[in-house]
Amino acid sequence: MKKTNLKFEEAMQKLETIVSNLENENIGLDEALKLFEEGKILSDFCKETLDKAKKKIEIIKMNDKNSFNLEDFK
Amino acid sequence: MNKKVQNFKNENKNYQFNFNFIDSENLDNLNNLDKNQSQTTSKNLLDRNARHIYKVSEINSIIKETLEKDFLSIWIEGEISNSKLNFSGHFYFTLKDNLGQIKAVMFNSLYSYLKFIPKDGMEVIVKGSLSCFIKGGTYQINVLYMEPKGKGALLIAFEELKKRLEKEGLFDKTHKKPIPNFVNKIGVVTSPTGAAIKDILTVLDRRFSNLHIIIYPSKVQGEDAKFEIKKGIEFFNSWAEKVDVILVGRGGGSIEDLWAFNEEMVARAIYNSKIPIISCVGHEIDYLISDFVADLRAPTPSAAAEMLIKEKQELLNNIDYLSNSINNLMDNILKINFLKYDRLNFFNIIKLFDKFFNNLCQNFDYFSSEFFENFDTIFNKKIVDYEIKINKLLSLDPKKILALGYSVIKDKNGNFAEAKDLLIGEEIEVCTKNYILFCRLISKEKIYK
Repeated sequence: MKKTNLKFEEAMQKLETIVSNLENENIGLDEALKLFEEGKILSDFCKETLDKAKKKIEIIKMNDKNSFNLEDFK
Repeated sequence: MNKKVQNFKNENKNYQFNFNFIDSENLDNLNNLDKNQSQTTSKNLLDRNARHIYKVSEINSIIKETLEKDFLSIWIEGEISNSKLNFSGHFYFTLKDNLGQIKAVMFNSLYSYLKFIPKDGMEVIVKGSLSCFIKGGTYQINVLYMEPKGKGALLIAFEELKKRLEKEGLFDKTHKKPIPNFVNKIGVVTSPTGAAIKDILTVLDRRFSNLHIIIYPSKVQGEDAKFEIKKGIEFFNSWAEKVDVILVGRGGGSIEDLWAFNEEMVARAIYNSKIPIISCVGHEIDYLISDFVADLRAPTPSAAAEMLIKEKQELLNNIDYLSNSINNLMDNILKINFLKYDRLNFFNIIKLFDKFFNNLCQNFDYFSSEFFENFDTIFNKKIVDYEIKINKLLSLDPKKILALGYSVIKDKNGNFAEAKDLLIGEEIEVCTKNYILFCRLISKEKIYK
């Protein structure tokens, strides 16, 4: 499936536009299919982006002024 | 003057002595009281032939009158003990030092505006007026104002800084950055062992876990706290791995404990942050400087976490809703469009099928079973009718169909046109393999029913 280069928020906005366009009953089939396809890509992308982030809690350990480590926080 | 009067006066002097911290205005009052009292008393004594016997209520009411008139506005310092907040919100307590005590009350209407919570053992300075109860022979101070002892300076500093920064525009709404709807990475500047981080993580566990939290460990009270909080904010701003939002906060505590969040250094670090900041210090009632400067103020660290996490859950719901809408709408559009095709239209059917099957393959599960049933009944017949031709053409793309000698008719605006919709005399475009023919429709004849 094609990918999108949009940011999450832009994708969400576009998704909303697509839905409101599809709500127009006079829309041509051609355009509808195009929008549908795009909408699928966008919603999958949005979900994926949300799902990708897993719970991760880390704490910064400063070594000196210029370097630090990330350690798991318990 | 007889001895009794002398005693009364002496007592009065002792009384005055006990209140030796009364300001000069009250001292004058007291001197006047002294004079007045002796005069009235002497007069009474003369009238009653030297031996005057007061009724208890009588002497109490004289005392009441005197106290209330002459101690209208006094300052007292002492330690709170035996405090009790009654059900209607009035705060009763005893003010004491190591030699004495006085009952005190602060009524709800004033108590509720206090910027701190007075507790037993706390040293305070109060301003108020004395009142006396004739029935019980007791007196108390009605407290009009109270400040923690030694904290006056802090509060003054707070007000001064607040005014100055406000004037400078640090609290301006126009400078506030919106908190992003979509938060993936959260930077937290707080103590790793404090209540704030525990609260935030508890909320995460309970509600939604797909987040990346990075803690910048910092002291949140004491002299070093302001430096470390500032460093934490600057760290997240300079870090290549951008966080979406920064939480700066700690659990609740006394005003001194929270003081770092009232420091100008911290306020400026918040103001200069490119990343939106939520100030979340566990102190639901009071506002700190950090609350005014931050892009958003949460009353507690848990509340901040809930704000962010709720947004994310809402987003997920929203995506689901939009995605379902798209599927349902497309379902409908396909149904409507298939119904329109009541006669052979190779180009459109092929195009449609091409896309439809492609989508079907990709998004099989998004179409309802109901749709397939309808699809079967409505179109099976037609599909059988044209099966051979369609199968033959299905393997071809639209250009190849044109190459076979078919053509596509569009109206003058370039939209696909159906013959039934075209009017005699209308300008049309006929698209063939290599040419577009611009034509005018001379006549039309219906050949299929």
